[in-house]
Amino acid sequence: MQAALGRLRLEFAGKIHFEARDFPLRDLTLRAAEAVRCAADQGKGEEMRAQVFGGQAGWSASPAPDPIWTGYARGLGLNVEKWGGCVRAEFHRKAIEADRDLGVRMGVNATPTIFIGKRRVDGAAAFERLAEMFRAELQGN
Amino acid sequence: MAKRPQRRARRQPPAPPKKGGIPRQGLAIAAVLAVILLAGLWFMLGGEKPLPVPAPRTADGKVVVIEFSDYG
Repeated sequence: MQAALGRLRLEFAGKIHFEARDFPLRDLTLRAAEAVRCAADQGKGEEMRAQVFGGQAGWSASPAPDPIWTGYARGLGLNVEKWGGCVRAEFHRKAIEADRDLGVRMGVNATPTIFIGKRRVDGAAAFERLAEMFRAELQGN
Repeated sequence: MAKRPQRRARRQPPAPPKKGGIPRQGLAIAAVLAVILLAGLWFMLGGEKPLPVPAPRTADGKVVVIEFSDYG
């Protein structure tokens, strides 16, 4: 899904306004969202997001994923002490919950859910489908 | 003939000076109204506001794409 959205952003650069919103379904993934946002504070949000999505299978099976996320943070050259302080303080918790509340108000009940203008895609979709919907939205159909 | 003890005239406590201005009751009502007003302003301006549902297009015509995702 991330690859398809990444391609969509590239193909329609200048015509697309992309927003990634958190919709954590579990406490663990809420903490993962926190880890990403704290990395974004140091200018590495996209990179951390890619790492956390990419390493999902590893950390989500771990009873204590924090060292794995810390490894990502270190690998990205973040100030790990500052990043860790941000994560522990749950600095972005309210913003993450506000994202989730927005999703609920927009009728989201599963992830991923994509809104392309007025159109909605539930679940993962291939780039071609997203691009088709984007073109239709662009033309006002 | 014994003199009757003279009664001293009881002194009346001096009447409190009359204050001009707003009576106490008025002040209390004003305070309550101020608290209500401030609470209302806090809810309107400073309270937790939910995020607005985004418009499908930006002001400059870009299509808004929103991804709601969970890292799990």
